Amino acid sequence: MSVFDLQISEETERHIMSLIKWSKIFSIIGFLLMLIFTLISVLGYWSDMDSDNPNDGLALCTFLISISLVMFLPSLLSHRLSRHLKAAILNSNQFHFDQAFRCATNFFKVTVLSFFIFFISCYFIITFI
Amino acid sequence: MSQFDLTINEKNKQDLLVAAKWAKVLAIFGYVGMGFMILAGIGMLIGGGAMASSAASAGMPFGALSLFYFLLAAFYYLPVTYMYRMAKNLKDAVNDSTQTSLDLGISYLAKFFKFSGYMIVGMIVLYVVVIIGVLVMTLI
Repeated sequence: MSVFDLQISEETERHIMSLIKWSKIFSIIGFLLMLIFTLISVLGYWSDMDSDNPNDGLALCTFLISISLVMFLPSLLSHRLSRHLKAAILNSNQFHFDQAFRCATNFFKVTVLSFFIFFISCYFIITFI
Repeated sequence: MSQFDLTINEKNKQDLLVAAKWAKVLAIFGYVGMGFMILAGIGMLIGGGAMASSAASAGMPFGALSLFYFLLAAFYYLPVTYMYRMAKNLKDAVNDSTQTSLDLGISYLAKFFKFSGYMIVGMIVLYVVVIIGVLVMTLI
């Protein structure tokens, strides 16, 4: 039996439909959280501009902005995964199916790299600000 | 043409293997992170007990902090386990051409997104509650 014998069965389709729904919800929540963090950081920095020690506000602002940046690509890829999978299932389109698998791969790759960037930025924020 | 005409081709197989590899790396990071959280919780308990009598630590909620770390580790357990199982099943599906493993792998991926979504919503709610709490405390 070769790998080409793997098919999208009814059971697989049921799981894929669930994946489409939840990856879309995940991406929407991710974008929403990004927006909240960016707003909090900008407002926090703005309110600390006149204080005696504006660097405190800058540290929090940089930290929240770095969280937002870290969340952007995984949210975007999760949105694309959902979109391509939906198009693949609804239209039986192999091209969209291939793209969805590519997005799933990139999602995990980017999430690992984002964690590294986040930890490195945390280190710099703690050390230098 | 039905959805059953969609197949897992050679390109998909390669993508699935790479996704499984990175998901496994992420899951291992998650387990290591959980380990650190449990250690931090234990450290808070032991440190809190040792410093209970000193004036410098008066008022420090060590017990609550250690509970917070334990709860955080417990919350991370499910998504990390889903990710690990997804990686394992997808790898088995590609290597042994097992349809059941493919179904399980995709279902765990869906469960991972579902739980992560719930977790982020919980975080947003927690932030809103904390912000409202701080505002109320400031006004009182």
